[in-house]
Order: sequence, then structure tokens, then C-alpha cells
Amino acid sequence: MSLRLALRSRPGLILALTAWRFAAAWLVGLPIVAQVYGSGVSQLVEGERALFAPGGLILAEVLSRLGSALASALGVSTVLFCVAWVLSLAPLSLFIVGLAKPGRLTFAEHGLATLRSFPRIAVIAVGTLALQGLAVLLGTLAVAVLAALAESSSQDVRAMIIGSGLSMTLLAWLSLAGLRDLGYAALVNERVGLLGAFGISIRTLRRSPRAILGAYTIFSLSSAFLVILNALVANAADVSRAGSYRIVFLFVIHQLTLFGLTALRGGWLCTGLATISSWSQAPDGKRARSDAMADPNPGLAASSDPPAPNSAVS
Amino acid sequence: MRTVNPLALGTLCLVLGSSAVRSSHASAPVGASSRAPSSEPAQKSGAASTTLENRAKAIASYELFARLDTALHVIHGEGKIRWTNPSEVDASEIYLHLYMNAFKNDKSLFLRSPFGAGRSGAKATDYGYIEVESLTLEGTDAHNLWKNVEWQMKDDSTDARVPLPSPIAPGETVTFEVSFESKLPRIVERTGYSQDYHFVAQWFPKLAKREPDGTWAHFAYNPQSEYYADFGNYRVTLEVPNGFVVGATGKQTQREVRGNVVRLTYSQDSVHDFAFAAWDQFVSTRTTIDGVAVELLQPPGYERATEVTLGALRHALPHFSQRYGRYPYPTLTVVHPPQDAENSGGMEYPTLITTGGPWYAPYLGVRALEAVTVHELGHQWFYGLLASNEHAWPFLDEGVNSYAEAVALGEFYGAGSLLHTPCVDVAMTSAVRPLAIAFGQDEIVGQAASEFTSFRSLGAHVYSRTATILDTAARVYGEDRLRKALARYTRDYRFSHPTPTDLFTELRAELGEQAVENLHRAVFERGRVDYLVRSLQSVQKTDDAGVFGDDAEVHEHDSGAPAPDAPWLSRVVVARQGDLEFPVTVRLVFEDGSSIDQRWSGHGETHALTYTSPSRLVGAMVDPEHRVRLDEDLLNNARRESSPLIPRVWERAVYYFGLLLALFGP
Repeated sequence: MSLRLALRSRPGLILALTAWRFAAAWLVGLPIVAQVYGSGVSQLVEGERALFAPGGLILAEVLSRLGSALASALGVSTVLFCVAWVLSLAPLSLFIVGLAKPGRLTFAEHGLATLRSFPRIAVIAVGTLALQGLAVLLGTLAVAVLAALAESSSQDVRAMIIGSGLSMTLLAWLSLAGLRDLGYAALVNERVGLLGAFGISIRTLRRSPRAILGAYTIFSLSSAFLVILNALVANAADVSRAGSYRIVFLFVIHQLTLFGLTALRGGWLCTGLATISSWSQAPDGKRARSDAMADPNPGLAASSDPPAPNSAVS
Repeated sequence: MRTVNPLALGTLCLVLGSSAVRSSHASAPVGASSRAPSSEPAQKSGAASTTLENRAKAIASYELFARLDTALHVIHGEGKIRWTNPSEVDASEIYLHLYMNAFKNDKSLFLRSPFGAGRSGAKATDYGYIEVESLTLEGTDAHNLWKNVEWQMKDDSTDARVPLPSPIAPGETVTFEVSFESKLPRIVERTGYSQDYHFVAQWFPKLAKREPDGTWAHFAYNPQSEYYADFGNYRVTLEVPNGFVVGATGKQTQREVRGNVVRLTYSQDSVHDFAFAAWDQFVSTRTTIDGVAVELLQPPGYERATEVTLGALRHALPHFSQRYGRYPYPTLTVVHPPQDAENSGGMEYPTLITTGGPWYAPYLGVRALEAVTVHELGHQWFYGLLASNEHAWPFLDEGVNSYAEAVALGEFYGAGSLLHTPCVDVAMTSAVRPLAIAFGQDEIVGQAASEFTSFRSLGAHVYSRTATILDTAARVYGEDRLRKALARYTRDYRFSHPTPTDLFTELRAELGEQAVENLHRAVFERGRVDYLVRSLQSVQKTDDAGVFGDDAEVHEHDSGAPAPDAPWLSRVVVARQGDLEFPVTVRLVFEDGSSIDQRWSGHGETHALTYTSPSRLVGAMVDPEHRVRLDEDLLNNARRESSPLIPRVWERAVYYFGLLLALFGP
């Protein structure tokens, strides 16, 4: 399944989820923005541009002047972020259910289906977060141990070992996230319970490792590429210089990036949905296997007509 | 503990000391072989111009033999101290500093604070000490002078007075023979051992400095203080186990293997201390930078640190030589301690510095290693060659050197001289300023090290605030002028133990009287300043209204609405709080986007500016280029008619939190 399919079938949902995140981010960032605004930095002749000027004079000034107030604001933002994380489950459920349903959906149909799936999606999300937290904890411990073991190694080796440890931790986080997304797909597609969704995810992964891993790798790498490209463009825009167009340009670029990330996630979820439904259509697994094998790059293979993500329920 | 009034001492030294010391130095140079300086600026006329560029008069010279027992961490030492009375008064006593005794027990001045008073704040876990076995005066009936030693502080044996059998006349030279044993502590701060690594400083009985008026500048080893000593010629032979790599003050002139041990002789003239490091795991990297033989000693595996350290030295050595007079010694040794001995890092000794910093800093874009290396190298001038009294006026070495370090880092690394990442660059001066301001007027910058309430306070005042004061002077009065002043100061007072008065004399010559008044106030009188815009008004001109004329011809005018093209009359009131008066620019910003700059001398507490313009005044800012880095609040320097929003900050916040939700959301 493909990014194109996601974009073609549910562009409104992608836009809606991006809009939700925009609104949530706006609220989460508000305490910090308010503190910076209250610092008086906008009164300077160069205005807030001074915060981004090379050398960081005003940045250091604002940080040192706001001090504990900024720390408090950061605390409030963290709480708001947690709230936003929980609330994000609702639009996410709408998003996943929307991707799984074909054609036009009435509000009531969409809402009912979402309501049915929401509790299980929430449990999967929270459960995965707990596992991800555990992975980070173990990863951090492993990094600490590796760092201690590598103490007598060269600095470059130590840096490489620690970097590898952190990368592995990130990989564990991402793998769990990928598995979670498969769980979402299984849950919505197959109307199964939590354990059932988990079982389907694992089985799908075992049966079509190339298709699933390929799609997820492409999704992850594309997302990383998008974020890095965005950072490079943002740096080149240099907002320490005057010009409202720079802010508009950056805003557009940043929000397009966030839209792109949501679309990529949608593409990946479509792949998951399609693969799971293919397997469920073929009790012996043979047809589905041949489908999956025939599409080694399912995430972005949009040139041919992809199988419907929701064939199981259509 | 001695209480010092720095201003009084500065004045006293100016009257009694400095010129006498400088002229006496000119008379009898002692033997250093060193290169002639190249392309040096013209010397100042007068007494100071006769100061030798690359040699100091040898007042206190040491010829020592030291055997390092690396298993017991003990040094057995013996040798001769050749001392010339540099004062105009007979000396009937000498003072010796035995600073290894700072680590003798928890009652020493260094360790007695229950809160950990020093730079590291660490407590001793294995104590160290120095015991003088004998001290005799050569050429006299050899009896042990040490029997009459008098400790100068209760419970502390770092400052010793030794009466002499007969006075030593001014200019007379005598030789003391001494034998001693030093036990190194596990490193608390600066000196000691950690496993087989040994950093050995303050390890021999060292003469206090005798001032021209005959007083001895002697003091117990305070945890916040550093050193002060006369120049001399050092010949030190070290015996260490074969296989140990040694880095020391001076040039290695002899190497002799004797079975399981090796004897290494180091020589250096015109220095005032001797330190060495010995470790069997050091990896040595040698190179030549600006004609100086540089040896870098590091733990194994520090390849990245080697690259970073040498990179910093390649910039900094010529930079300092060019600005503050050519580095006169043939060698420079840089020691990077292993991680478990990091408290011996970040220290300076003649021709030997220790560096350090978190090993991972270079990978994160933090220039910690560069900063420490450049800072300690700068001390070769602001400590090594000038040799001011670090105990009485720490700002003369640590403070001025912190400024020199920031300038050097800024020149090499630009806006990211402290932190360089793809997202943000932070300069050293930007990071130093908040510390300087936060502690502001708590204490006097120009006071003795021992007077500060804590090392943290000393750090903020002596390091950060002095650097910020000089940074302000450079930006307000001209970087070139300050550079010239410091160039003269460092060249004219090389080997001369300058005082604050000497520094201010040079600053006055280049920056002028008003500048020096400001700087003096900032250093010695807790001087502070905060510029701000108090009010901003702009009205469009109308005809004068009211009743005009006399009884014969009375007419009434109504001002009415102003013409659309009528000029705008604007008024800005700016204020200066505090007692420092720096001239500043006031920038007026108009609605049509234009702006004009007006100067304010900084005199008076407030200043009103009126200006007629075709456009309405919408904003004003004092010191828009942020030249007055001592300004306590940079954010109240401006006022606008309305408060513009901060779309850049808002945009970034929305993006970053949105990204977090996208990447780490459910």
C-alpha cells in the first residue's frame, strides 16, 4: 500500500490530524511563548530576531533572566504535552478507522466505528508507551554500562559505542512503534481483542517480513529525511535577519513537514492494513504471500493499482 | 590570614614598588638563552622600556634533585636555593611556603572548611604533606635553620618563617641547602596522584616573594588563592621509574637511565615555579608551533582530544604572542589528566599547563577543551610572564586572562566560540555575561582571593565580571585601543610583578581618564550600570492654539487637526541607573522604517532627546549594538509604542512541539 493511496483516499483525515497537532502544539507551547513575550525581548529594536542572532547574547540574557519562570513554563508545557498525547488518541483513532474504511463514510458510521475501536487503541498506545519507556530505561542502562566498559578505549571508539547504544535504543523505540501501528491496523481491520491484535501483528510480521520491514524502513527513513531536510532549509532561512517572508516561509515549510510526516504515517498504516487483510483473506496464506512478495516496496509503490487496504471489511 | 586592601596596596606599590622593581631588573640579567623577539611593537619609553623582553632577574633560583617513589607517592628531595635579597632592606628572616601541607589534615586552611572551599570542593581521602628535614645556609656553620621555624597560622603549616643567623644585605646572594620529603595526596585539587598518574606541584619548599620595601608577601595556602613568587632559574633532576613518561617545566637537558630508574634533568631560566607530571601510560605527541617545541601528554585513546587541543594551540600560541609579547621559552608542555584525576586539570605552571573537560564535549559541539586549553595557555602571560600577586589581586591574572581567552576564542571560532551546533551558536562572552551580572555587586572584583565568600563568587567576580568589564571597555572605547593598552601592559611589565595601578596606568594612556574612572569603579567599587528607556512620545505638530496678542489686537487661534504632512515631534527619555557612565548610542525608530542614532555621553541619571521628523517615532533603544556588556538588563534597553508579537518564537514552538507529537505521539 502506498503513500499515494493514503493521500488519495483520506487527504482530509491527514489534514485534520495535522491540524489537531498544530492546535495541540500551539497550546503546549503557549506557556513558554508567553514567558518569552513577557521578557520584553520584542521591545528591542531588532525585536525577537535578537534571540536567533549568532553569538546568543540575547538568548543567554533571556534564559538567565527568565530562569525559574521559564523552568516552570517548561513544566506546564510538559504537563500539557502529556494531556495532548492522551487527547491525540481520539483523532488518531478517527484517522486509523478512516483509513480502514472504504469510500464515503457518514459521520455517524465513522464515529461509531471509532468509538468501538478507541478503548483498545488507547490501551495499545499506552501499553506501547510503557514498553518504549522500558526500552529507553534499559537502553540507557546499557549505554551507561558500555560507556564504563569502554572507558579505556579511544574517545572515538567510546563515542561510537555510546552512539550505537543510543541508536539501538532509538531502534527499539521505533520497532515498538511499528509493532504498535500493526496492532492498530489489526485491531481496526479484524475487530479482535488486544491479544488478538498483538498476535496478528506478530504473525503478519513473521509471514511478510520483507513487506512489513521494507515499508516501515521506508516510512522511518523518509520521515527522518524530511525532518533533516527541513532543518537544513530552516537554517538557511536565517530568521535572525529581517523580513516577515522568512517567518511565513518557515511556517509553511514546517507545517508541510508535519503534514508530510502524517501522510507518511498514513501510508505506512495503509500498508499494514492491506497486508493484514490480505493474510486474513487467505486462510492458507499462500495468496497473500504471493501478493506481498510481488510488492517488495509496498510503502511507496504507487504506480500500480494497490490492493484496497480494507478488502477484509468491504 | 592576611587582609589586603587592594586599592591601598595598589597605590603603595605604585609609589614604592613597581618602578624600583622594574629598574632593578634591568641591571643584571641572568643567563637564559632565548630567541630574540620578532616584530614587537615599540617599547614604552622610561623605566619600563628597559625591562628585558625575554629574561628576568634571577632572585630565587632552585637546583633540586627529586626521587619520585611511584608506589608510595613520595618524593625525596634535596638541593640548593640561591636567593638574592631584592629589597633595599636587610633580611633577617625568610618565609617559605610549604603548600603540600595544605593536604596534611582537615585542620589546614585549605581543607578546614566543612563545605569544601576550593575550586573542586573535594575532600581529602589520602593526605599529603611536606617535611623539611634540614635547611642550612651555605658558607656558614652548618646548623639546621629549620629547628627555629615558626608557623604563621594556627593549625596550618603552609607558611613558615625561618629566622636567619645573620641579616642578608640588599643585593647580597646566599645559598640555602635543603632536604625534604613530600608525600602526595590523592588528588584533591591541582596536585597529587591517582593510581600511577602523578601530577606534582607545590612539592618543594618555596621562598615567598620579598617586596622592594623589605616586606615578605607570604600567605598560607588558601583554597581560593593561587601563587606569587620571585623569578629565578630552575635546574631540576627528577628520578622516576624507567617507563614513566614525564612532562615538566622547562626543557629536558639530560636523560640518564640507571637500571630500573631514569634521571631526567630539566632547565629553565626566568620562571617562578616548577611542576611536573609522571605517568607510565602517557601518550606523547610532539610538534612545533610558532617556533616553540610543544609536547602534548594525554591518556591513551585521546586522539580526538589531541586534534582539538593542538588545533586550539596552533591558533592561540601565535595569537597570544602577537598580542601580548612573544612567548619566550623554547618549550611548552600540555598535560591532559586521565578522567579519574580531572581535578589536576585546568591549571597553569611556567611552560606547563594542564587541560581537561568532558571527553564527549567535542562530539556535542561544546568547545570546553578548546576553552580550557586557550585559558591555561593565556596564563603563560597573565601569571607566568607578568607574575602579579595572584593572592592579593586575582583579577589581574584570572580576570584579564579570561578576557584574553574570550578574545582568542572569538577570533578563532567566531560566534560559536563556546557552543557550535547546527541550531545555535553561543559565544564565550555571551555565556560569561549572565554570571558576571548575576553576582553583580555582591563583592568587590579587585579584592584578595581569600576575601571572597566562596570560590563560586570568586569565579563570577574575578573571572566573569573582569572579562565582562574589559569586554565592555573594548566595545565602548575601541577594541584597538584596549588591545594597545594590554599590549603595552604585558610587554612593559613582563617579569615585573605588576599591580592594578600598573594596569590602570596603561589603560589610562590608551583609553583616557573617564574610561579608567569607570573601569576602576567597576573593579574596586562594585560599580554597576543599567541603561533603560523611560518614556517615548510622538505628536504631530499643530499650530499653536490659545489667545494671543495684547488688548489692542486680541485674536484667538484654534489649533485644529494637524496637516497630514505636518512633521512629528518626538521625545524620548532614557535613564542610567548605577554609577558607571559609559557613552552610548540611542537609536530612534520611526514608523516609516527609518532610524537615526544619537549619542549620549552617559553623564547624568536621565537624558531627554527631542527630535523632529517626517514620520512618527515608534521605538527607541539605548545601546542597540550591546556594547555595554556590563548593562545589568539588556531587555529594558528598548521601548516601543506597542508590543509586537514574537512570531518567530511562536512558529518555532509550534513546530517543535508538533514534531514531538508526530514522532513520539501515540
